[in-house]
Amino acid sequence: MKSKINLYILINIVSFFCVGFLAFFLFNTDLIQPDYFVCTNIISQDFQIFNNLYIYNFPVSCDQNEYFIGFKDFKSIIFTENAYQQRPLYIFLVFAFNSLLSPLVNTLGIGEIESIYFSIVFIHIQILSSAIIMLTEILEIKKITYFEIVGITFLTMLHPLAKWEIFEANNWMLSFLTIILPVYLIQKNPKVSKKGVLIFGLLFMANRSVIACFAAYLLMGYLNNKKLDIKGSLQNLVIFFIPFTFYRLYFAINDLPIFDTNAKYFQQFTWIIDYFTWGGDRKYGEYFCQRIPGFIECYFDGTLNLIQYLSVPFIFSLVSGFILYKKRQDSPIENPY
Amino acid sequence: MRFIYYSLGNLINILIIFGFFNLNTNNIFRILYVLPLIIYLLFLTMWNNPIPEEFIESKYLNISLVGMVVYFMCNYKTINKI
Repeated sequence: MKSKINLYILINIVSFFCVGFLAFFLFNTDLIQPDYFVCTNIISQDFQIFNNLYIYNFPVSCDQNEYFIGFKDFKSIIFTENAYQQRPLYIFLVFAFNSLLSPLVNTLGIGEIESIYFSIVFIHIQILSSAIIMLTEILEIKKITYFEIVGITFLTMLHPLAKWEIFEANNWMLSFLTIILPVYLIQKNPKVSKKGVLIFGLLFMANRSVIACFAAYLLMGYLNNKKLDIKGSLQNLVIFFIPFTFYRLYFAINDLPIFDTNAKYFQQFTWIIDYFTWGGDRKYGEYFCQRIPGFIECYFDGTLNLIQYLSVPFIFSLVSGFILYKKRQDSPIENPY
Repeated sequence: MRFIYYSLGNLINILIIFGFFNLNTNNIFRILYVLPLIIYLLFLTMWNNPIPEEFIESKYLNISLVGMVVYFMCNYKTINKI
């Protein structure tokens, strides 16, 4: 337990160092042309730290205003038509940490926006650190050296998801954690546990795509048991939706209007229902593949683009994946995960 | 569409970390393993880039490709044994 805490702290320290380095390297040197291409611009900003003003280039997202409203006053996302009203968990985490910081921030002469930026980066680092810890447990790394900690933290922080988005408010940072979580939980307990289901239910309050990881968790559990438990499956579904149901109940009881951008603007999942009922007003292009069967070609193209984009890491991952497959084939283990 | 980038992109990262621990028997091989990856990832642009051919400047791509070849040549024996 103690070694796990030490490892967690070390990953945090290395991560903060990486964030400092990346903030300088990406936005404040001429070594790379930083460009987010969509939604985010690099803007020269004044930062108030210890009552002094410092000017640095820093990314500002087009979603920042919506997020920052919630980070400053969490209640406001419930009572207004905020884009993140129906996925409040991430906003709540940053809001809670920022509120805890506020007495210290005032004493140290740090500005409100700077405090929020720090809270965002802090929460992102906690998410990534937790994911790295889980990954070392999945890989059954008993002893880990300082060099290895620095190596895997650097690799994680340089992954485009972390490298570009650690500075911005976004709930996608959770995706690294949620993709690891099903495997981690199944390795801890080969059966689907109620606690595990509830964790996914809570994470669903941050990002709807968690439902895919939850499905993977259920599938792995059923494959381990080699039987389909219909009663258990229904129970798990009910438990999964408990946090979301309670949240929606709060809106119903208080007669508050629901503003769901995921469904309303992005048409997440609802486009499939629309397609089979009235045809639907579906989106295609940019991030959207809402066509049947056109989505297959669209996702295939997206996958090819990703492979091209991550070509060198993809080659390394292919070799690693092959070795992983070979190891699993060679070692007769009870739990395939 | 973003889901592909986040899910497969993260999966690639997980496999890279798996490889970091399992393909290398000592720190020299680990350095040779992370070096091309660090060079490539450090100079990679954001994935919203509308010109997919310009994800990364060719000089950095070439350096990381050479680094990768050097790594596989040096660590060929270990990888082949697994």
